[in-house]
Order: sequence, then C-alpha cells, then structure tokens
Amino acid sequence: MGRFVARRIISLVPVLLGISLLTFVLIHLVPVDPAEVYLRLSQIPPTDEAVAVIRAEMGLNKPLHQQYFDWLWKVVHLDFGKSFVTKKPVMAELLYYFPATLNLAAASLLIVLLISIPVGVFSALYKDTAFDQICRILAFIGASMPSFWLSFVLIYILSLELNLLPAFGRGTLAHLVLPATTLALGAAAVYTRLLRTSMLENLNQNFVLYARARGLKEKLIVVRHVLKNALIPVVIAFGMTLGHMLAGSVIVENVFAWPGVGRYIVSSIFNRDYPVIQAYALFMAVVFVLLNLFADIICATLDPRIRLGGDK
Amino acid sequence: MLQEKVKGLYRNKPGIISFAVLAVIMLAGILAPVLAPNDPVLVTLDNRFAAPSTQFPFGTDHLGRCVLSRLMYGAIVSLGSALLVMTITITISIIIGTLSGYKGGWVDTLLMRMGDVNLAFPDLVLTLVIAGMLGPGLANIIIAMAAVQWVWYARIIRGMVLSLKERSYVLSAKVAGTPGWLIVVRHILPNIIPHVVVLVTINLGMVVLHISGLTFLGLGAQPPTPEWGAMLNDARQYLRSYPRLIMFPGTMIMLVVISFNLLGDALRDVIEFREG
Amino acid sequence: MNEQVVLDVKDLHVSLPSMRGVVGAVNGISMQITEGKVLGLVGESGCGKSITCLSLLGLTKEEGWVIAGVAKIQGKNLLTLGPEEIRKIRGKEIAIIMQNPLTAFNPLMTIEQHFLETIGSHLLLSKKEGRNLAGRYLEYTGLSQPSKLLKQYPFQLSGGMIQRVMIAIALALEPKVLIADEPTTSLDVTVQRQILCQLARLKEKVRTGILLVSHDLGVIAQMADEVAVMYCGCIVERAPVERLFNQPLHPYTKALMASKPKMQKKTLQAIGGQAPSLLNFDGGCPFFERCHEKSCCCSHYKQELVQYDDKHWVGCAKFAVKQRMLYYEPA
Ligand SMILES: Nc1ncnc2c1ncn2[C@@H]1O[C@H](COP(=O)(O)OP(=O)(O)O)[C@@H](O)[C@H]1O
Ligand SMILES: [Mg+2]
Repeated sequence: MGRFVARRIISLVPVLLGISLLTFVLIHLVPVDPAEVYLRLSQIPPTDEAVAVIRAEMGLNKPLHQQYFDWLWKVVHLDFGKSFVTKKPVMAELLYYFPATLNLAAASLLIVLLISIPVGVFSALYKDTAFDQICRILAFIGASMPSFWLSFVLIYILSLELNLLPAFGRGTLAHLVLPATTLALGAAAVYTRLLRTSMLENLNQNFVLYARARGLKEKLIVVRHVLKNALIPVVIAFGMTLGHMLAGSVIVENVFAWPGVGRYIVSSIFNRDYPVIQAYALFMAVVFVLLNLFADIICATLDPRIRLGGDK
Repeated sequence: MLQEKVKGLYRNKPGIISFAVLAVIMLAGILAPVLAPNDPVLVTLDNRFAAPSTQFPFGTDHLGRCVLSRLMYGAIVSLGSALLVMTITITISIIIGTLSGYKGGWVDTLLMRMGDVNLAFPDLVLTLVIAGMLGPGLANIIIAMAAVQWVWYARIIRGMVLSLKERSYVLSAKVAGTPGWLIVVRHILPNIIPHVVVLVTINLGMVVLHISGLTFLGLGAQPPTPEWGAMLNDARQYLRSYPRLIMFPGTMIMLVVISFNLLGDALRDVIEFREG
Repeated sequence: MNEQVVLDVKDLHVSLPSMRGVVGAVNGISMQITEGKVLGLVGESGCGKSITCLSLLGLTKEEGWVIAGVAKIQGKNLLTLGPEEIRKIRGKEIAIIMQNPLTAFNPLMTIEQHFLETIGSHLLLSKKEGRNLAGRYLEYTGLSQPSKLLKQYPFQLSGGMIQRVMIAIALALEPKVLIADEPTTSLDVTVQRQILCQLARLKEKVRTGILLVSHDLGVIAQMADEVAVMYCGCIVERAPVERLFNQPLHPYTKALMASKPKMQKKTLQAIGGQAPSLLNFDGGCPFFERCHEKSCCCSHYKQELVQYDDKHWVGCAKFAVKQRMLYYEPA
C-alpha cells in the first residue's frame, strides 16, 4: 500500500510541472499589457514611465524562462502575488472563498451518492421493469439539463411559488439545499447510469454464479459480490466528478449568490484581475489532481490487485 | 454497406426525430431574417413584458424585444458557435492526431504530455480561465473551448490511427510503396471519420451547454446579441413576475442538448455496431 | 456395502429462448449418482453438460427458461423447491467445482473470506472454527501452509492452487453430491494430472457421490466408475467404464473413441459433419445426420435409452429394434 501511494505521488511530479508551465503561459494570452491594466485598476494614469516602473516591478522585462523560474519559486512558497483590485495576497483571498465552495461541493456529493447508489442498484436488479425505464429516462433528461436553467426552475417552484426554501445566499442548512441539488442532479444522472451498467456487468460475472452455487443468500451476493465490485469504476470516476463539481459550481454560485470561489473568479475576470485568474487555474488543477489521487487510494484499499501490484 | 447504415439510421426513431428537431431549429435560425416576425434587437420600451399576441407570438422581454425573433436569431448564434467550435477542434485534432499516430516522433511525445496536463484540469476551469484571460466575447469563448478540447480528440484519433496502422491493407499498401500521405488519405481517414462523427455528435450537446453557460455568466456573446444563454441571464431578474422569459430559452437549450445526445446515440448504434 | 443413490435424475429437460428460437439444451436425460462412486458425463462441448450441472443446482431459473423432469435428493425434487430451500441445498448437499477457477473467485476477497461466507451460509460456526475447518480441508487437498494461503487473494494463486481451493471449499461442508464441471479443462497438462490424482485420492476418503463432467475421454477413463455419453442434450449411451471402453455400442460413442489419440494408432479420425443445432429439437435421433451406421428405421426412432444388458444402456435404433420396436410418430 505504502509503495503504491509513493509510486502514484512520484508520477504526479511531471504533471504538476506541466500544470505550472501551462498556468504560467496563460498570463501571456492577455491581449493588453498587464502593467497597464494594473495601473488603470489602481486609478493611476498609465503613462509610459509608470508602465515601465510597474513592468520592472512585475519582472516582465526579464527573459521568459527567468520569469518562469521566479514565478515557480514564489508559487512553491504559496505566493501567488497580489490581487490587482484588493491588493491583498491572492492565496489568502482564494482560501477565504474556498470553504464555501467546498461546502457546496461536499453537500452535492452527498446528494449524488444518496440518489445514484440506491437508484443505480435497484434499476440494475430490476432491469427492464417500469422503475428501471422511468429512471433511465429521468437520468437521460438530467444529463441534458443545463444547470443554470434547472436552478431557475427549482427557485421558481420551491422558493418563489411554494416559499419552502431560501433562494439566495449562504447561512443555514436550508440555504444549501437548492444550490447543492442543482449542482448534484447532472452528476447523479451520470452516476446512476454508470453504476447500473457496472452492476449489470458484475451480475453476469462467473464469481456471482459461483457464489450462488455455494448457497449464499441473495442479499449477501448483491452487496458483497456485485455492489462492491461495481463501485470500483464509480469511485475512479468520482475523483473526476468532485473536481468537475468544484468547477461547475461557478455557474451555480452565480445563480444562487453563493459566496464561493466561483463567484470570486467571475468577478475577477470582469475586473481583469489577472493574478487571481492565474492562481485560480493552478489552485483548481492541484485540487483536481489531489482528488484523483485520493480516489485512486480509495480504489487501492478496495481492490487488492491495485494495492498489491498484481497484474491484470 | 453505406446504404445499409443509412437504412439502419432511418429505422432509428429517436435518431430521426432528433435530427428533424435540430434541422428545424437550424433552418429557423438561418431563415430568421425572412421568417422572424420582428427585429430581434429593436427596443420598444412601451411594449415591455408584453403578453403573447399576434404581433409578438412569445411576448416581449424587459426591453420590449420580441422573444420569438430573439430565439430564432439566437439559434444561429448558439448552434452556429457550437458547430464552429467543433469544426476548429476537429480540424486541428485530425491533423495532429493523425500525424502523431502515423509518424510518431516528437509530435507524438508532445501530444501525450499535453494530454496529461490537459487531463489534470477540469475542462470548465481551463475554458473559463483562457476565456477570462482573453476577455469577454463570443469569439474568445470559441477560441478557449477549441483550445481546451482539441487535445482530447487528438489523443483519441491518435489511438484509432495506431490501431489502423497495423491492419493488413495498410501494411500491404506500405509494402507496395504507396506514399504515406496517400495511405492516410485513402485508408486511414475514411476509416476514422465515421467514428469521429459519432464522437462529435455526442459531444456537441455538451458544447452547446458550455457555450450557453459561459454566455450566461456574461463571458460570451455581448448584449444586445440574441443568444439563448444571454437571454436567460437577462430574464433572471424577472423570474418571479415573468417566468415565461426563462422557460423559452431554457427549453430551447435543453431540446438541442437532448437532440444531440439522442442523435449521437443513434449514430453510434448504427455506425459502430457492425465494426465492433 | 449397499449402493445408495444420492441423486436421482429422471427425464430432465431444459430449454431456453434464444434470438433464433427455443433451444433444447437438455432433452430428457436420466442418471443416478451413487454414494462413493463417480459418474462420468462425457460429450463434445456445447452438448449441454454445463446446463445439466447448473440445473441440478437450480441455477437455470432465468427468464424464459423451461425446466421439466425430476431430480430427487433425499426424497425432495430439487427442481420444484422454493428459492430458500434450494439455497440450503446448494453448497451443502450438492457442491460444485467450476470449470474456470480463476474467474470464479471474487477478486476483492481473500480465500478465507470465500471459505467463511460459504460455511457461514449453512452452519452456525464461529470464525475460529470456520478457519480451522478451512485449514483442515486445504491440507486435505494437498495444499501446504493453509494459514498463509487463507490470507491471500485469488490473483496471487496459480490455476492449480485455486482449483484445489475450490475443491476444498466444495468438500468442507461434506456434500452428498459433488459436481465437477470440467474441473481440469482450463489448467495445463501437468497440473491437470495433479488435480485428477487428488480427486482420485479424495474419492477413496469421502462418501460423496461425484458427477464428473468432461469432454475428455482420458479424464473419464481414469476417474469414472460409470460413464454416460451425452450428445445434443441427450444421453446416448450409459455403461460401467470398462464395458464402455471395451464394447462401445452407440455409433457416436465409437466415433468419439476413434477421435481420441492413442499410442498404437497413427491416424486420428475426426467425426464427420457437424452437430445439429439444438434449435427446436424434435425428439428424433440427434446423431442421424452424421451416423455411418444409419438405416431406414432410424428416422422414425424416438430418442430413448434401452437396456442392452445388465448395466449397459444405449439410445440407438439398431438396438432398440432388437429389443422392442420403438417408433416415433410425428404429430
Ligand atoms: N445463457 C445461455 N443463453 C443461451 N444459450 C445458452 C446459454 N448457455 C448455454 N447455451 C447453449 O446451450 C447449449 C449447451 O451449453 P453448455 O451446457 O454450456 O455446453 P457444454 O456441454 O459445453 O457445457 C449450447 O448450445 C449453448 O449455446
Ligand atoms: Mg461446459
């Protein structure tokens, strides 16, 4: 196990370097001079001298590779520079907004699990029944529904018409329900389908037949031999999904005025707060990579073939 | 064989229906200048929030603009930009994917490394960030989406090319001294294009979703351009009093996405079933 | 020592739906499994051997499958038992060794977990007692270091080892009947020999009646006391093992023996033609098309075993006509 984790972490190094390189290059996509933007945002007239001073300060005059290593050195020390707008360290800002987003994503994840596991399991066990058909249609629609539109439908029905739940802001648990549900439904649809397929595949495995032939109780077979095996591809995909949820929360946060990273990044984009955009990219990529690592570790604890480095 | 496939597609009801829906929407968009009842950007403040009538079949929005006309013009913006994204993506990825699969070498190494890095980002984050750096605007979103997606397609195409390269007819063509580009054009491209068409169709729904999502955030088409995501954004403030303003563009987006998904599934069944 | 029949199968039919129509996979077979004896069931692959085995465990209850006949164990017809009753019989009264041991084990579970869940489904034993039982039977099948083995996962074992584990699991609950469905087919030849020797040794020790299924006459010759030859879902000949090899009666049995490599003979004879499809089996002689000894009355013959002498039964018109006329009358 320890060796597996170590190997997996070492394999991350080139990926992380690639991520840093890509993020570094991003700032050079900006069609205007960042120094000029900085000055405008600071209400200083961008005269030639002022621009030159700021460029020097930002290190924009050095050769590119020098800029990269300087930047990387700072990033390794968790210094992402300062926001053009608030003049505060970007890292502190991101960490300030991140908990709200994490909170939202975690709640959604819980909803995804609560929906997709029972529905996926039962629609596989009762394949082709009315229940299964209805679930499949709902899953198809769920996967095609734009989250921003779904959120308006939910707000309109549950909040404005029935007055059951608050539509905007963060605070009580009730505030969490609508945004988390909106964020969850698309993924729940995908996972229900994935789990159903995976369950059906495992139900046809030889070891399930052998388990029946040994006289095990059907419930035990479903839980231990079918479900546990069926969950492995689902867990692998979950690392990705949680990352996509953190990213997808951009839209949901903006609809529900949820004070998380997603809202922060959109306002930063409109403010042309380039250091924030750059840091956001790096931050999300690292979180995403770590989540995938985490999912792989869970898989390894589930599956001895991965853990003990077997073939197959 | 092609005929058989066309027949198979013809028998696939969801496929046919979704194709028809998409064709109608696309036509409505193209013919909007002729068919649309009103000017989509004409602001008439006297007519704000007008109920559906003969003059405004779907009513008007907060600036008194005709909702139906905006939906029709919007079709070409929403669908057209999605198609444009796909065209750019596919052109790049076919060139690079084929080169990397057939020739190998540094192109291949570079593509694989880029793929690893690309996979390390959630798609939406990278798109958002590139679009953010470039600044708001429809063109920038299209560039950002293509820039993020092509790597993925190129890697898939590379895989297809690699497996085709080992087929006997390719090997024998090689032995016969056929030049590389001719083998690619004659034997490889015709074999990968059907699969690419399936991939593209299935993912077009996703592209439409992302484009309208980014426009909804204000990053895409700028006012007063009629675009479905932008219409949703305009309508959100009036959700309580005029929910219909939300219903129309939302339903359109969903219809298009569902249709692309169904059409993609149908194409996959027909094209990939036999080749397995 | 009187011979006690532990499993008595009469006129077993299994038919299943397929894309092209109803497949008669098993078409009225009868056999008796006797305590302490090995009944060999031999036939080409696809002739319905595995389906026969599974139906004896009540594992053919899928949608659209039709099962008819009687299979009696301890006076109960296991083909008509409810799900919980048949579950209690599986593994406990009738145990099975499957053809493909490597895929029969859940890759996520240790050998010990497989043992304990099997034992726990039938007996009230503590974990420790279960572990002791498992260890005892693993040693019984010739595996050393059982305690270490129990902690291992299936993918860490070789094919021969895991087949032994399967045998140990099957025997641990002292079943009345052991079904071995091609127990050695997927193993390489040297391991095959070891496993067969092990089974032969176990046969002496336990009182279990064994149904040994194989497409390999060599395996059957080595192990079985009595042999049933299966063709297209029917048993075409049944006799004690020496009798069958010395004096095969049915043309199919003869052809099967001719196609088996022997030291003395240089030529190998394949059976001409192809086995007929099991689709819409009509009850006539299934071997008719490929038979070299067919005669005019064959086409009217209704497939049924007739007694040739004391322990030798054969399902061929030639012999049926001698004994009593059996005609198949088309409806
Ligand atoms: N699950 C199934 N569905 C449809 N047909 C089956 C199934 N299992 C077996 N068959 C058919 O039943 C016949 C007997 O199969 P089987 O008992 O597995 O043969 P074998 O003698 O090789 O063990 C074969 O012709 C096979 O095609
Ligand atoms: Mg078999």
